[in-house]
Amino acid sequence: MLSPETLVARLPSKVLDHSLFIFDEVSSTNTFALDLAKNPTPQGTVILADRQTAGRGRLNRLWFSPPGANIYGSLIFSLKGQFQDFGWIPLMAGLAIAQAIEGTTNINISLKWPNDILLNELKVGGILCESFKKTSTETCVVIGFGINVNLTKSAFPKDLEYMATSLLIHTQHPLDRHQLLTSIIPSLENGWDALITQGPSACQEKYSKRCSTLGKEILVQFPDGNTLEGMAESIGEQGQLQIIPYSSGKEGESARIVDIHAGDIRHIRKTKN
Amino acid sequence: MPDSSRREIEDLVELLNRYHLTELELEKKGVRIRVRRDAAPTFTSSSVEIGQTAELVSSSLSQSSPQPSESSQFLTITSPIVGTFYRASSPDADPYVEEGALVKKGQVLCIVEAMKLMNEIEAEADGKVVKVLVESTTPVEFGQPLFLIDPL
Repeated sequence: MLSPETLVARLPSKVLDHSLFIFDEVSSTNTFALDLAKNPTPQGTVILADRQTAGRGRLNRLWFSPPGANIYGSLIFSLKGQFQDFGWIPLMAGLAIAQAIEGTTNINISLKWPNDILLNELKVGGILCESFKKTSTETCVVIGFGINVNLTKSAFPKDLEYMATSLLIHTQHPLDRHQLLTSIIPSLENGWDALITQGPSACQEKYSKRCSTLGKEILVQFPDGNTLEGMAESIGEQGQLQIIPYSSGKEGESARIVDIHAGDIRHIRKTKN
Repeated sequence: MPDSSRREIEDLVELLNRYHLTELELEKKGVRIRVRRDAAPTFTSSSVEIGQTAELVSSSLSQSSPQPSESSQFLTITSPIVGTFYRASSPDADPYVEEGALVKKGQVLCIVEAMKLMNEIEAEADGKVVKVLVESTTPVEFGQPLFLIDPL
């Protein structure tokens, strides 16, 4: 179980200025956060759960959320007026959580575009950002995250066995979830503040260094089912992934860059250092 | 361009929208006006052509490129970001709304995804969904019309 006392004792006072919800069980921290945010809600409100009964990822894919082992949480943020750099929010969130895990555990954490959290190329955590327009001038953004912390290899469902991992599987000893949370939550808050005040330059370089998709041959599966193979080249101004497809670049032609704003990315192999 | 020509163009654009036509042409006193909407429902690419003088063509493009959302009775819901349009929350789920449905202000109409940020787009007024302009799971541009709503 997560201990509210331990978290309250360790979280920085800035976080505690906001509302903190800690559940033994909730359907999904993001679903709860989105419902909560329909009403006036303090910026930075935190929702945590020991277990999710309907944990979900992108397009309502199931997020495996057993009790007593992992971290499931959501933070509620608010944007006033026009914000040009909307697309950088998920990338910032990935970077902030990767930095927090690495800082707490000394384990190298990388990111698969846009924000899958990887340990040795296996998925150790995921992020789901959701937003809605609260009023004509205010947009609410919920950043949800699930981290596999103390799950044993045998506890994973068969279909995740070869693509997911946990911090425990790597370290061979259990980690303190409270310690991770007291690092992840402030890291996300600081990342948000920096992005809002400074724009993408606050995280662009650090993100690109940590994004292991760049420089790899990748397969993109688009939401409509089409696929595209190519080399992941760079991150664009809006946070989009820029790839050079293998179909382009006929002799004498300069390579054509394609912008990817949404899709499932599979790393195929590394092509450069 | 004379005001009368502009009014005629605006009238044609309104007719085009009202009856969901793709093209309409009017010839009068040696002036031919054609308004056309591309098959792909991107109103921003609508064009206006006037076949009399070069001057008229250029002024018509610069001054009265039709903005159907202004001239029609319908409210156009546009995409606030570049991304992918989804009519449902997941591939197995029913669409949030169908054409002909009555919607309330604030009701979710669709999702536009960018960089795995799922952005709910809501109805800006009570009304009836007249037209869904984009196919689910396809890319959309910033400002691209997604729905036509007939406000109640």
